[in-house]
Amino acid sequence: MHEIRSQKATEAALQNLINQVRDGYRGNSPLVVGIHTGGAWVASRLCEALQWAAPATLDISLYRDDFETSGLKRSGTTDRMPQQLNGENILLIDDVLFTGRTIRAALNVLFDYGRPGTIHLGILFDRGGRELPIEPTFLGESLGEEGVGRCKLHGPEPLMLMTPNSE
Amino acid sequence: MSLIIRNVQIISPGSPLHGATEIGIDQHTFVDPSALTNATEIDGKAGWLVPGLIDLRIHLREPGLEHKGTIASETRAAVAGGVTSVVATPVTDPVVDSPADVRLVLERAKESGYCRVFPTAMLTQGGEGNHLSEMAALIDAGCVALAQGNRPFSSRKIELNALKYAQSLGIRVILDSESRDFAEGCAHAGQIGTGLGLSLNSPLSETLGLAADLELVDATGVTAHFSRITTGASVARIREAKAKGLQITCDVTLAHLLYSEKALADLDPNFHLERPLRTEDDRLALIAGVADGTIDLIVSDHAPHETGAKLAPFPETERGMSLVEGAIQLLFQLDQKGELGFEQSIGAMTVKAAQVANQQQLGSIQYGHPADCVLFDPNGSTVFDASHWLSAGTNSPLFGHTFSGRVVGCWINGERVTT
Amino acid sequence: MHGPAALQLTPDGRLKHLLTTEGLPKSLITELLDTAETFLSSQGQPVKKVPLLRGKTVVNLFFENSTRTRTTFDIAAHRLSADVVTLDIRTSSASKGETLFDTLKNLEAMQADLFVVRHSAGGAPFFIADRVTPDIAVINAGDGTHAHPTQALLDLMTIRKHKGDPANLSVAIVGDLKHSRVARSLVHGLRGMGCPDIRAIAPGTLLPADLAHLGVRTFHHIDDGLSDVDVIVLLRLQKERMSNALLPSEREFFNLYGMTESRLRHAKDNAIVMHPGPINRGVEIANEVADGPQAVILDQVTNGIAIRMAVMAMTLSTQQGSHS
Repeated sequence: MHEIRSQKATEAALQNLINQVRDGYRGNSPLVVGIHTGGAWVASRLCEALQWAAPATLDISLYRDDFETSGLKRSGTTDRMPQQLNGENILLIDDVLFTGRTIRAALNVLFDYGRPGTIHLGILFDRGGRELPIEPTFLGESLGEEGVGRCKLHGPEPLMLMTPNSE
Repeated sequence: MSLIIRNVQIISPGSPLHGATEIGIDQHTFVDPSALTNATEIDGKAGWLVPGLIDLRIHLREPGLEHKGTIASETRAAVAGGVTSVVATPVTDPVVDSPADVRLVLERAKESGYCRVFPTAMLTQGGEGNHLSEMAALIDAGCVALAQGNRPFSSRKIELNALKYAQSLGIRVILDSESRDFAEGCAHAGQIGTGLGLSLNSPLSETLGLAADLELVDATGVTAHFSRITTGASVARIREAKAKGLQITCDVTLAHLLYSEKALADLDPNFHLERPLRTEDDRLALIAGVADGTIDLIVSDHAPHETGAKLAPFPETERGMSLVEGAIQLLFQLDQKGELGFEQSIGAMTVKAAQVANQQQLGSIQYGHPADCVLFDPNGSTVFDASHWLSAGTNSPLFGHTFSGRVVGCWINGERVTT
Repeated sequence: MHGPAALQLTPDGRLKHLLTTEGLPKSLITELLDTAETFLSSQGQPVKKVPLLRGKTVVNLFFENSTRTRTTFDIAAHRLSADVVTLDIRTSSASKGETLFDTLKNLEAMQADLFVVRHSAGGAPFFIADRVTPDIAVINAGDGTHAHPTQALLDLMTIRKHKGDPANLSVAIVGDLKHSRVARSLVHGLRGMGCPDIRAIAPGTLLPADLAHLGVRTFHHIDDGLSDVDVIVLLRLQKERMSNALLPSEREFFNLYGMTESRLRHAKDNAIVMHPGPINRGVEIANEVADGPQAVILDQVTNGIAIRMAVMAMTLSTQQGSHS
């Protein structure tokens, strides 16, 4: 396990993301939804910085498309989601964007809560390798050029990007 | 043709030849080897020579249940286990309750049997427990005793009459004591069966039945053999009754000497028996009963079944196990475990069994007696598996196990029997 | 060789089948309960169905009728997007003389992924699990008087939610323990969770033979048995107990063992009252207790669906994991 982005570099990416989101919404705060686990940390830092209400958190383990190969992987519990979100403007937050499959699963969860008005995507790190037509609206830092391998956000305090435990 | 088996140790409890190292066989009988000339000699290689075992309780499945086993297949299995005489239960389909049935069994045994077969028949017609069977005719046809198998008498009154009638004709009866009120259940009503949620059989089913049967035997004076006792309480009852002078004998099955209720923990349907395996304390009491002579005989209660009969959840399977094929090895195992001496267990399956089966000339290696014997190599071993299993019943807990001891040869009436 | 407790686990200790709560380690029970909690949260969303088991086929094999249990398994499977096939075996193959074994082989050939088995014979789900192809999971939905592990797990989940870790609790089970697979499985589950004080309260005719061996204390008088307990589990009393002469009457049972407000006061102040349902008001429980603040009976029903979802997901997950 080793560092890909130090605490300092991670904080810089987070700040960049926060700035973009602030500019993007100009006072009309959306419903922020963080994907367990890393996305939830990022979302909560973001809401803190923008003085928005605490974000909802989303467990997407039941919507994953890799049950056939990987079985059940639980992360956390879905929390603070409104009973239905018809017409809501949603900002979906995750830590690392790779194939896009996690975001696909999260979108499916959100649609099981109703028909959102808009959904924007905020990502801390983009490592490229997309398999689905999904792109972030707001991005902290793109890692794509470097071609980094598997990585995982460590947190909640301090936040830093590491290789997985097994490597 | 005459034969001398040398370099053996003869184990024949009660015989003057017990402990001898050689024996002659001539004209179907055991003879003094020094009297023989031109005899073929066999080197026993320091093995043990024991009288052919006599199994007082075996299901041969003929007539009517040939899909489970035949006289040919099951007597062949018996010989492989060192058994040279079997007493067949009458619980076939239909049950043996007429002289014609008895003659059929004897004929089939003559045609296809590998060992001596002694029939028994039902005490009541159809085994239904209502009308007495023609007992005298059944004995004339060749039955060595009459039994009621696992079928109840319709009342104690009918049972009393059956015993009284049998007594007056001097017929030995074989009783499976059980109280009908408690007869249900596929597992002993103890910790294991309860834990597995199986239907439970109380030991009271046996002790209440035995107490009543003993009263009837006492009242009638019939010569009775109690088959398959399973509890320490029953051993104590029998001991008291014998002390009181009742003309009774009893037996225990190999399974009940070897296994306790713990064997059910894996829900192996081979351990689903007509009489459930009881507690470890009961098992030890049964062994002690054989050791002190309270229990006279050991029987196989061999019950072969077709595969389908055991291919179901435990409570829904048919009852009984196939194990006569390992009879002598199992007796030896009790000795190896230090639980019951081989000489004692051999006695319980030879000389004592011969008396109960009314075949006093069998079960003992003595000059002039029919030459039924088994050469057993205690240093050998036997592997039991489905590929060279002789019984038609594959319902055996012996599969996959290796036992000490090996049957080297088996002679019946002086002829070597190959299986 | 292996009994039910061994057969349900993989060599590395994961849950392959759920046949009994006997021998389930605390870590595995905890994982099941935690998983069920996450399913409970998904039950709050307007569309309750999640796609986790899409494309999987769950076969309900009910050899014994039980509308309630079958319904909860149906709902659980549907909420996980599995296809559900329900076979009421009593009215199909069994009556035509087909053996259980052959029924099983036929169902295997139909590419089922999971069997939910209810059977009147103790050990039947074990027989099935022992003989199905290795990629089929088996869940015991009640076998004879042997086990009902999902009911025990939902009880544990309810206990944990309301009273915390069972390792710190006193639990009393009241009623017909002798014929209750629910009670047996709950005792094993509580033992697995390290519960130090399990009590059985019933007349001698309704107590099984192995309680002492399981570390369960028995009481014939309810007031003694309820003293300072945190959890009271009532069991359903079947009518046939009267016809079998195990009890004189429902009235006498209620007078001796029925849960009334005054009896409830012997337990701790905030003790909870549970019942696997359906309840017999005025037999096992008085109206004011059934409808009172300490009864958590309906919560048990809700937890039951989440537990069954968790068991299905975890056993199938183990099956998937074994492929990769």
